Amino acid sequence: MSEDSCSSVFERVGRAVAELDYAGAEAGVAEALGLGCDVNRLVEEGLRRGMVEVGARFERGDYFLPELVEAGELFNSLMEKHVLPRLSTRGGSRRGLVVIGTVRGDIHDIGKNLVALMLRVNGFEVVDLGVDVSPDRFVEAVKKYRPDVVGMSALLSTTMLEMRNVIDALKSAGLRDKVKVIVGGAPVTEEFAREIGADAYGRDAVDAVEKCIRLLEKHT
Amino acid sequence: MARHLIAEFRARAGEYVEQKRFDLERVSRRVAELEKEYGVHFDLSSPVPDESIGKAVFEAGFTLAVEAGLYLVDESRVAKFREEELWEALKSARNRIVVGRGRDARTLGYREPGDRVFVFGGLAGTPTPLEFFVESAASYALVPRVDGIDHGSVQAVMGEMVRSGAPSEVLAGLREMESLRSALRMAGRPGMHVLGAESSVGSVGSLGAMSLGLLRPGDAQLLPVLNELKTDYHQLVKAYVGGLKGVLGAALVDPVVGGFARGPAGSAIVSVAEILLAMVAYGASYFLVHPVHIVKKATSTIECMWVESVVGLANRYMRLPLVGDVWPANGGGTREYLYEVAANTLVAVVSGLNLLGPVPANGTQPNGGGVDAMFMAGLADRVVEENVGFNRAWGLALELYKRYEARIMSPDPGKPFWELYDAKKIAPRKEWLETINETIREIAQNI
Repeated sequence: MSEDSCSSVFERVGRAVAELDYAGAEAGVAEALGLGCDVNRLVEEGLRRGMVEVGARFERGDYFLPELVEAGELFNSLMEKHVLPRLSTRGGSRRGLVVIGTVRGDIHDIGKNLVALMLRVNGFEVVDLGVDVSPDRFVEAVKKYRPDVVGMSALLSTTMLEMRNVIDALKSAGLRDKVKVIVGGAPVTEEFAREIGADAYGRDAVDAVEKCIRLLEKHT
Repeated sequence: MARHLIAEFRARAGEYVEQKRFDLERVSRRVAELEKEYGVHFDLSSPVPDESIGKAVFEAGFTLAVEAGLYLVDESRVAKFREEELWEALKSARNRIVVGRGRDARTLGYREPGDRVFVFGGLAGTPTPLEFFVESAASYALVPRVDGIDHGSVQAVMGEMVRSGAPSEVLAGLREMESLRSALRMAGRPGMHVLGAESSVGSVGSLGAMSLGLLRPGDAQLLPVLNELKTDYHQLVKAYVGGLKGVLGAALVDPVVGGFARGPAGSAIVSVAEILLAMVAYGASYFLVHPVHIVKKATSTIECMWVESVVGLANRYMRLPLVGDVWPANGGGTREYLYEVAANTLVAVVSGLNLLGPVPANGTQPNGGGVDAMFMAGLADRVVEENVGFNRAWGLALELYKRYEARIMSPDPGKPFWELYDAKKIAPRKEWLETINETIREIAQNI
């Protein structure tokens, strides 16, 4: 294995991910692993670089939500199939684990999905609980996955009150000080986030990612 | 049989489709194909649409409506409508309706670019404290040029935040409507058209307001088409009861630009499809066109103005009462807000849309008042009177865009109604009025 040949394969993997070329990306990943390239570098310089380009294309308006979803699925699939089994024995490279969901009574998921995707693009592992998630399910997920951050989304002013219930449920379960909480969604404000005792407020997907990074910096 | 029951029964007997598959395959993928098949294209470097694009957008949207149908989220099934049913519904749809009551009644209709613009004023959907609800609503109703009102959302009652589906949500809807009625009486326009009970996003607020006679014949309730090409039983129930009560349905068509509707071209196609499906499933009487940019949000972005414009052009083949929402990123008290309102108004009016707004700070803060709607309506009238052409209006809008583009992503929400206005006198404060007048003079020089 030479450094040059690995770098060249990583570049091809990144390009294939950015072009949403699953076959090309998978072939590149297999080739890199066959060459014995470093798995962490494969993730950082190949897969993640491709996802960063996907994010950039989305922000430029060249890609839309469907491409972001497709890229997220491609990334997750390659990670699960080829990378994670190896990382588990060689030390992970993830930035942190986020459990995310839209709160009870609210079925809106576009914003939540966008945040989940952008988190993945930026190196977070994400457990997406979906929509209409009860406080109990958030608590169960925190017990099960031991995340660094819990993210809650609501589109409606009438459902965002659930966020307080989730935080209260985390307190009751003795988990509140073990996890950071970030909230967001159209009616949610920084003031509201403070009022209910969240650790951070994400104005949009990009802001949410930045806040999660900062929360973990403070945390560590 | 009522349209709403047809939609329900069709969906219950319709194909089961996983929601994600509907979004990605039935909507996104097909929209991308339709953009190519019909040659609907948006170019940010040259964003002024060719007026002839309307036909292609209409045909592509019609095809999408027939092929994709309306997804009923409660059933995870699709209600399909045949081509001839959509044509029949279009033929029988009223292109002019009388809204409001008595001497305050007005006509809201399909408009050619030279026709009078129907103007809705109000802080539509914006959280507005009850303390200032009546005065802020009255500030719009006192503007003679405002034809109808769509104002505010009550988020707290009796000191408690409103809870979805709970009695507090019903109460919020009732408080909103009672306050609106007070405001209209105060303004001497009790029969003015109200698009109301928006404090409740489900159905309970509207149902409560209709059962107590606070939403009446001549008024309207909001019936959103969920993103994208979807509905739920809340909307169908509201529409059904509204139909029985003689309350009009105002369909909200708000595709997410950059979302599953894809870019501006796809969002325009989706908008037309949603208008047609809202007409046939909700029996909607008029339609609010409100593209939301997935990152930039405001309707005053180039992408969203393009969607509004192109949907207006496509309406030449539907001839329905369409209303363009004007939701700037900035808020009252800032000059950028006025530039956004002006650009959005210019484009919407020459594209054949009526107007609703302006709703400051993307509807997040009550940072505006009736004088803003007067500014918007005055410009709309000027465009009509001076017979400003399509390309000329777009050219002016693009010039204005340069003055607020930088503040779209980091907007200044401005000041709340009670700082922009003397709330007791319901009169705008001198400073804000002067800014408005200066901006009017500045824009008038170019028209």
